[in-house]
Amino acid sequence: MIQEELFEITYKKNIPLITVFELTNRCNLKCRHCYLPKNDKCSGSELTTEEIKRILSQLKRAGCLHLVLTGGEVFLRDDILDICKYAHKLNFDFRIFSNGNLITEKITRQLAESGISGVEISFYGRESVHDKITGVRGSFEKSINAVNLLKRYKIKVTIKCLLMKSNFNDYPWLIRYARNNGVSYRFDPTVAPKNNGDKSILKHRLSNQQLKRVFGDKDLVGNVSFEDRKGGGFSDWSNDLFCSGGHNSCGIDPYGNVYPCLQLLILLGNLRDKTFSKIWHPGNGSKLTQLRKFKQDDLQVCNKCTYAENCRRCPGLALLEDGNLLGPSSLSCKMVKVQCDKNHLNFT
Amino acid sequence: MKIKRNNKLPWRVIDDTVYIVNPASSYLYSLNPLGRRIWDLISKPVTLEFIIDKLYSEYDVDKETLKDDIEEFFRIMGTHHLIAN
Repeated sequence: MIQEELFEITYKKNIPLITVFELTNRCNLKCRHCYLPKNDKCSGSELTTEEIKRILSQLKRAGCLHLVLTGGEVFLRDDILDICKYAHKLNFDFRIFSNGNLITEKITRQLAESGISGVEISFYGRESVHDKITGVRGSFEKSINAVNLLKRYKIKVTIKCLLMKSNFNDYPWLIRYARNNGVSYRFDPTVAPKNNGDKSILKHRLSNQQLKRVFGDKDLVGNVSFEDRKGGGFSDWSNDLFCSGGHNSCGIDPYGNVYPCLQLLILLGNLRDKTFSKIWHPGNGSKLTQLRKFKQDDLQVCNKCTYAENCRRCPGLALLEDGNLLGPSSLSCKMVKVQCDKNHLNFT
Repeated sequence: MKIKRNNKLPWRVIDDTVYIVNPASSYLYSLNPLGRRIWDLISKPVTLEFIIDKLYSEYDVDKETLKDDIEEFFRIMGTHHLIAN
């Protein structure tokens, strides 16, 4: 109730309640489905510790409460614990997304002291499947060690798994592993194109038959997220076929670029040039102001769709994969059809 | 005995309401504008008497009623670990 009230107020007032902050695009794994292009030429230099702290202070002033620190792999940054301590000092509800491979006991102890709200570790299945997907032998064992360490230091752990053709048969094992170890789990069937629009990785997406099984599995109910990088997993709230991106959630990349969401790659400005407030509250005629004006009525195709009521359309995917912010997202179309047909819903 | 807010918890003031997160339970609490005033007052350790006197000077309220309400407020805050003694 309070959660919904807060979400609604911040949505209406464009307060960035949730921020997903990519601190680096560097990674120690080579996951086959990664949405970050290998040769990241647009980058320039990563934000420094001081720049990140300045941005966090600006986010606090703007009203941001929930903060996700992600990558790449955030533990490749030497200053990650310093950033965590600073986030705690500013009273953020912050968590880290990581592959866990660089988490040592010393790091875990310091994380526990930093006031972190939780760590989400990526898992893909049993050892052979996991290591094949990450492209690094031994990565599974290191991720398992990270979960054990985090648990020992009483840090909340969630294992999250992108469901693909290659690990689909392993998801029941992952559920058993999570339950046996007392950690939460979350599955996501959304393989997104790379940020540069490259669709080659879409071949990893689940088939319709596999999606049907996902939607029909009671062990997955409430643990399936349909919007991988939207909202950082804090809420499923949505009032129409647009989303919270640009209203009360935002994304920041390692170079200070601000987006409505890290899945909705409309560049709003750079924090090396402008303050967060200037970027988030621009004048009339800006891209963000225009985006905020869009309503469901502007979605001419989706509005006529019989599945609209149940659809979890992602505007970012619609833009990135299908080239039209106001058009259908082919993945969302596929998923809602499978889901509704599975439920034997009647449409006229 | 002095009272102060639990500074380990994430919180923000949004639209004149204080929202506090308990990461352990993922529970979200909200304090109305009067609660917000008290939250501000306990940013540093203060006595219950100090808070009652301060609010009595700011609000048109019977002192005994105020005292009862504030004690109940802190009892609930204590139950949910939102304050540190």
